[in-house]
Amino acid sequence: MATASALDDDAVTHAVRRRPAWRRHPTVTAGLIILGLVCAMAIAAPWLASIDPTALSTAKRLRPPSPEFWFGTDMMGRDVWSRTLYGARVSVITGLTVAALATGIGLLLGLLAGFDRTIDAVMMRIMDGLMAIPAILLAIALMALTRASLGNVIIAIVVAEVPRVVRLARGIVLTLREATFVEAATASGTGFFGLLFRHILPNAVAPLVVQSTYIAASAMITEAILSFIGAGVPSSTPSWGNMMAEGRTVFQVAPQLVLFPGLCLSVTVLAINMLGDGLRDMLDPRLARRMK
Amino acid sequence: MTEPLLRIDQLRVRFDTPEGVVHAVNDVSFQVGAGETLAIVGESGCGKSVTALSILRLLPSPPARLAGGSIRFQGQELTSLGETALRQLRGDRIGMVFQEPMTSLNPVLTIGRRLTEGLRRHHGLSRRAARERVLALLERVQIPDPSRRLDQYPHELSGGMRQRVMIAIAVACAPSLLIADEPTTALDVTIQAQVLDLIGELCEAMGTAVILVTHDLGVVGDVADRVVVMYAGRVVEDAAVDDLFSRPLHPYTQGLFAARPNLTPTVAGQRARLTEIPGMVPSLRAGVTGCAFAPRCRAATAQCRAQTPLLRPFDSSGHAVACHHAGGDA
Repeated sequence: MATASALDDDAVTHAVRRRPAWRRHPTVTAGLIILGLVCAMAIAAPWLASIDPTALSTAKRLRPPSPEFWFGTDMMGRDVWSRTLYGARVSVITGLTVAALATGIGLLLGLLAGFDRTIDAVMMRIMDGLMAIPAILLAIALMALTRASLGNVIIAIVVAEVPRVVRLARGIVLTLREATFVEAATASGTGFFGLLFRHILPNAVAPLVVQSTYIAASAMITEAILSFIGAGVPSSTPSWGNMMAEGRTVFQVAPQLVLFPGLCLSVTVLAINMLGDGLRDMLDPRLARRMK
Repeated sequence: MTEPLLRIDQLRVRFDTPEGVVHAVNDVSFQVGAGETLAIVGESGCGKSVTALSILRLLPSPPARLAGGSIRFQGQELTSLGETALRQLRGDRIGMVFQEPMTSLNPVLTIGRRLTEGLRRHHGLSRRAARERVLALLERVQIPDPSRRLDQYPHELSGGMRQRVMIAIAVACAPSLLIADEPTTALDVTIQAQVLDLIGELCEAMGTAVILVTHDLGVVGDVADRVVVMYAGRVVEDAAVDDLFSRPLHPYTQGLFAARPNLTPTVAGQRARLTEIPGMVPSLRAGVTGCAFAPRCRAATAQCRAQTPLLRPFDSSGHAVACHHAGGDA
């Protein structure tokens, strides 16, 4: 503990730093807690849901929230609470998978583009073309070509999101390639892959992690929109988008059909964005200070 | 005569820019003997760094292009060497120290990982063995508490300390040649001397030759054995350090000496105004005809403007100069 006493002089200036990480970055903490709850909901859906989300019950249609049906029932008498829980699964799976795939593929393509001028020229024009089409329209077009399924929805959204990651990764690589420490590493005999994986990639992790949270949020919204207009997951699968689409016709009589899935989607996306913003401040303190 | 450690012959480096070809290095020739310390001096943009960087082919290409000449290191031609062979040379037999200690260390790697990298690659040492070696190395570059420093990140070190680490990285594999590109320019004056002494001591102990790129004549006088003076991409004078200091032959070199700040007060107790070399460095975009220094030279004649003076031996001591009128009344 010799170091601790040596640091005592700086105790005052370091008081801010010494607060635990979860208190220093409240947005990250809050985002993580909410996301954790949503994930827990998704995973524990079979145990939390008292009633089968697809079970029809014509006698109990459009019931308001009650102790028996917490969120009420829809026009086919299905339990909205159970459907909301199962809907979380679709959203969480879509968000995480799209974020992982889009970041992975985008990073790979971005690295290639950053290192080879020819590949760069060809690939960036393709990416520009993809970016020129609004992500939703692109996803709708892709869904129109394929069968409605969760897998296809994910692929369609990944295609729409990848260009953004490629741009970011390419930009980072182009900047870092010129950095003195990369030159210094070359001067000490580091090869191409050593430069790429040991010196450049670790510096790219922080911005990519932040970007991937925004992709997850945007993927969830895109999935809901696709489902809402009937171009997403099949209507037999409960998803927040499907539920809102089905509920919108009876919105005036039974607002709970739209309200609960809509609320869940908003809160989840908000949580992810909070996490992303917080992570950005945490991983790049200089940027955070500039923004203030 | 035995082959020197490094022999550069008629080296030409061009930069292809949208505004035209920049003739950065023109017919530069010099040698470095084993264990010798050679200083390359000259003002900003005279091609001294470009020359140093082109030895290990570290210039980004494009725009840089090796347009001719040869670089022989330990009898091996470097200009035509394959990328793999070159990589084995870098950091092992030729070490390099850069100007900016603040940016030449990767911010996400600990000092220890960066330091052991070369030893593990070039000498195949295990993680533990490399760590042992590096600890001793950090002690040699006078970094206090080396075992703690090994696990720290660059931002936790001061500029002088980082430059020591860079030196440790450069000499980790006991290279035969160390290229130091303005190693002290970014440092505090008080640290500069320490860092230079350190380079001198380490290299003497290991028998490493040094190429020291600098614009500081004071530094040159302290540490160098021989000096190459460059101007506008050419070598204008090449001499042993004592010879150069006692008898600078090229008008440019004489100008450099005259332009050194002098802290001793003159007769009236006032310091004399700093002497400067009149005029500007010529643009290297177009090839220069005649002596590049002629427009700024008091002794310039018609011959100087028409004919480029070549580097020629002035006397038997190895003092060479590129001036038509050297040794005259210039």
